[in-house]
Amino acid sequence: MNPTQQPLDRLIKSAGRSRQEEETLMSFRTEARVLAHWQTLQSEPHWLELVPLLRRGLACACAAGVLLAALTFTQTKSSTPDAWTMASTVANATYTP
Amino acid sequence: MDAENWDANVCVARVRQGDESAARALLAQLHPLVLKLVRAHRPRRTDEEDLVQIVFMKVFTKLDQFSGAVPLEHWVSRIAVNTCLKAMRYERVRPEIRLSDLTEEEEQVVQRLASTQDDLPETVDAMSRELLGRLLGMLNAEDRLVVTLLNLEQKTVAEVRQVTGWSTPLVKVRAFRARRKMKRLLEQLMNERQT
Repeated sequence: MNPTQQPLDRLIKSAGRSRQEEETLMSFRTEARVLAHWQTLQSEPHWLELVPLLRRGLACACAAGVLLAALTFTQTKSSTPDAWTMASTVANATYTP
Repeated sequence: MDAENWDANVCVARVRQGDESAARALLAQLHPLVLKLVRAHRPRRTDEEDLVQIVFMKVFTKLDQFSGAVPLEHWVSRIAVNTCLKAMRYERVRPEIRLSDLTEEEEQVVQRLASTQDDLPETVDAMSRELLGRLLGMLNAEDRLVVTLLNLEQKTVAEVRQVTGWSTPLVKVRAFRARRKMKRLLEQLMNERQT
């Protein structure tokens, strides 16, 4: 007996003593269903294992694409205005009558 | 493969190669553990056998991910606990509990708790469990799990961390909040009985 114990502690202590020790054998139904599921997994084609790999590859490719686009944009922005002027002049000279 | 000569890694390797007898041995070996966990953590309205089946299906589906870095039993325990947690989340938490919701025997347990400071006699242990189950049913899934693991199964915080994947502060905070809520609910019942 511990008079300082809270009612909740006494309830938990009592509940903890009550153990459900019934049969522990797996039912035939459960075993059959689990094994059937396992066999289905076995018969699945192995290329399915590559799907996560492909997904990762696709994500990497997208990231690389975005990175390249950003890099191109930065380089274009930082290029000297003379290059644009020259190109514009050449274009004007070529196409303007 | 009998229980004494059981080698989890060898068995898992054989199951991966498609050996049905190894799959059966794995089931037989792990069933008591899974059943114990499911019984301890299943929601009140979920069938025990269905949950055991779901756990084993997940175990076999994820078996290729088992690296052998941790004991198989720990790995399976984590799957079982997370499956129960998921099932508990589907069960709606009751908003309140009243004395009139309890059975006569559960009411007697409340009466004993209110009237004496002594430990409850062993004769009411089963009823205490029922009453505790009702109180746990008032908590959300995570809180229920932490109280069951720490208080009913007497696991350490480290063990709870291992089986849930939560951090130490999270385990402690959840346990504290859950106990505080249960205390309040039990006091409510005890006060209701006295009025």
